[in-house]
Amino acid sequence: MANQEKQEPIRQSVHVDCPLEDAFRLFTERFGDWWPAGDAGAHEIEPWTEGKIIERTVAGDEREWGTVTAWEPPDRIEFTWHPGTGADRAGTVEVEFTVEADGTCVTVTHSNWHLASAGLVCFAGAAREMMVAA
Amino acid sequence: MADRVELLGAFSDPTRQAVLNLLRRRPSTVGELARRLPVSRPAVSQHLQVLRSAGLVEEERRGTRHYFRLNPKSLADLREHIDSMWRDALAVFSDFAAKESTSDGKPRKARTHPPKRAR
Repeated sequence: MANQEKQEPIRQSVHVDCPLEDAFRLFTERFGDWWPAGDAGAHEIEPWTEGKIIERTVAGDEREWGTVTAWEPPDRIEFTWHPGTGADRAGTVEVEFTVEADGTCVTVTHSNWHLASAGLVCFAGAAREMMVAA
Repeated sequence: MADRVELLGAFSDPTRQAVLNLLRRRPSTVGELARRLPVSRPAVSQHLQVLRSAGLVEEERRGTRHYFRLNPKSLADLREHIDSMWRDALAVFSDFAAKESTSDGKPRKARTHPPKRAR
């Protein structure tokens, strides 16, 4: 159990009906306005390399979710990602923005997602549990 | 969608994370877990039940003792969950961006340097 093998990255993409620059700017600058976190708190991506990804809870705590490792507007951003767990268990998320017909394609590649498994299992698993119960 | 989104935000429970972290190392009984966590045995039991019905943790009987361990299938489940988390998040973003981009006027240059926090 201790040595977990490398896992295939998780990849998801979506078409966004707006220009590349808008897509990048809205994704990053307005992260707190669209990230689906319910009432958990306010979220922010500090827009520079080594900027932090921050959650400020309703109770007033500030938690670090990750660190920006590449800031390349308007094409790409990469950050470490460890919501709910320590930086030593961080995965890496790369978000790429490419021009496509009528807008922008946004692709997320999440590598080493299994390292944060405790935090993320809890995050996702408990939510599923509650959905089943609801 | 909204309900699910709220739930995703609401359930990053630190005790359950700690339980899973301990179980990553080795199977444990409720008592062993409670000794290593700042919560009572009943609380540990309750968290274990949530984790178990979510399929993340299994119970195993050895003699008179009940051990809990991570479900080996949980990695595949985890992948599925994270995958759908991103799918949902990107769908939300796509809607948001389509709306904001039209109401938001011309593109501005992204900020590229510290600090000056918005909000």
